[in-house]
Amino acid sequence: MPETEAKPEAPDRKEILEFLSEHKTKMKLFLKVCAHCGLCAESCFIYTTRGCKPEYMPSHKMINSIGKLYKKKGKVSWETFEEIKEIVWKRCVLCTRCYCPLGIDIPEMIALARSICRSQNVLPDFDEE
Amino acid sequence: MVKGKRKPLKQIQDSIKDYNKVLTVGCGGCVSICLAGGQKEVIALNTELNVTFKLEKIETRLDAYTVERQCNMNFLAELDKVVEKYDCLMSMACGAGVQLLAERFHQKPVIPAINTMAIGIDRGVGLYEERCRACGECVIGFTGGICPVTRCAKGLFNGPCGGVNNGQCEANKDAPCAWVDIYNRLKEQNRLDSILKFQETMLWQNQTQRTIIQEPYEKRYYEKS
Amino acid sequence: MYEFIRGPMAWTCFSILILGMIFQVVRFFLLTKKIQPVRLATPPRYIKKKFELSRESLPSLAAKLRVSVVGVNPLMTLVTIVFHVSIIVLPLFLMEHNILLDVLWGINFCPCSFPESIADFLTGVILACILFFLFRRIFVSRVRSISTFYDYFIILLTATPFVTGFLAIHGFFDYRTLIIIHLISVNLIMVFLPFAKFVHSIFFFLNRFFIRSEYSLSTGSRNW
Ligand code: SF4
Ligand code: SF4
Repeated sequence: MPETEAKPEAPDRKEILEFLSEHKTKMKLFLKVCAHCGLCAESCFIYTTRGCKPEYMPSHKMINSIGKLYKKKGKVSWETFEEIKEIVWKRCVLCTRCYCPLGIDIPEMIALARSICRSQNVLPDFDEE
Repeated sequence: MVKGKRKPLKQIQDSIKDYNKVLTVGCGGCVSICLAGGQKEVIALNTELNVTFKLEKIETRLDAYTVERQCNMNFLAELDKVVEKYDCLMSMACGAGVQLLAERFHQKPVIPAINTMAIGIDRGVGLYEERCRACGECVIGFTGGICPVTRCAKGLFNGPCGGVNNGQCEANKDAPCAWVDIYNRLKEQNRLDSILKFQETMLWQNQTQRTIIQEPYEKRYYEKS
Repeated sequence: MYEFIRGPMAWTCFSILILGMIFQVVRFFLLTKKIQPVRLATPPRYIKKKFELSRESLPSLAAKLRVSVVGVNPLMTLVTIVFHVSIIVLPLFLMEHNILLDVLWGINFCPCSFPESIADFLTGVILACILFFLFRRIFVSRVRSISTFYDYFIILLTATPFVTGFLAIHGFFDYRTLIIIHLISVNLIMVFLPFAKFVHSIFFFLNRFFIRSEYSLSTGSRNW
């Protein structure tokens, strides 16, 4: 078995900030424009087929993944990263079909959160399928 | 990836009109991305059929369910409890998904509602282009990342036929000749020697590259008629 | 204090509103790129579908409506549209505002003002809509799950000018205090509009009409 690199004590904040600042204007805008209206919920089939639980609503997923990374300015623990991983890989399949009356591109934000996860070596558990 | 297009309503209608309770199963994978068989299309199809049947006084009831991916057994498990109540399943997944659904629920008739068209790329909203025929012998490493099987109407492997006219294909005047494109790209990369080697030919039927446009988007991409 | 709020403060806030909106629009066009429309050769058998209401077109029209936001969330769509139209229309056509314009600058819109009964009715409608939004935020779990203090503040801020205006016109409480609150809240809204949560008023139009996507309200000519 190849030796795996030891996991650093905390996620690399500098790298996360780099990702965030690259897409900053749009990301900030989307998070701000979101009126927290909840109209995106029914457009997500994950939401409707998993018992209409709030945590599957597109905006909820956006706010709690990329929104959280942005709000904490990249200063997040590994636990938070585990939660984000769960959100961006288990609760969204990036089918890009969510409806938002204000034209917010939620899948793009989720994809960005995925890239940040990957940069920190937080990866989906493929072997479960 | 996989691109599909819904069958004509009449055809779908005919195939399910003898059943009383139909479950339309959508797929959240490729066909959702190409606007052919996601949750929204499932609901739209059911509504369209329900209204049609009501107008014709036919008693068929349709319900909807969308799974994450129909091409994976794990995602079909959640249907086990749901399926019992229905006497027919209608799948909006690609051909692969429909077949797996039919395999799991082999006691029920499973009917496809979309035609699986191609493995392709996204060009615009509702506009897709075929890029791969899944021939199982990928040669685009030699041909500068351009697939001669899909793009060349004759699927030629060793350079263009004699029908090239000003860089256009003789089988389809609106399409550029794949081999002209291949030559230009390789020349740009200084790799022309890569097509000088002889490639074993395959026997493909003549087929031009398919473009899939979802019906609601036709007027966006076609010139005014 | 009243003079200050009515004069310099109002003008400052109004300038912030206008400049802010221009800034957002300009930045939007700088951040987005124009995309070339794709045009394909039309196949010979292609017939362009026209909108018509007939027995044949009914099923597909029903399907379109069913999957649109009207079919998915009819009540919320109705309330949202009524609310947003009302909050723009009411202040513009309010008799008292137009008299003010006439007195201050001699701009006479008075004849096309709403009679008092309509103005009161619209105020009632707006407040009912606001209450609907508020209750939705509190009682619908998915909306509650993403609501923050800020969202409630925004709702209250929007309600303030309508409540105070209504009370002032009908002579409840102290007119001067009410008008001061009325003006302060309106000034705040003007400042908030281009920069805070209210930017959705600008980006609704920019995003839905210019950005190309499945749900754009036009063909869409731009990409982020
Ligand atoms: S529909 Fe759009 S504005 Fe409303 S909560 Fe969802 S993302 Fe936010
Ligand atoms: S992209 Fe993600 S959030 Fe949007 S509808 Fe698909 S699964 Fe739901």
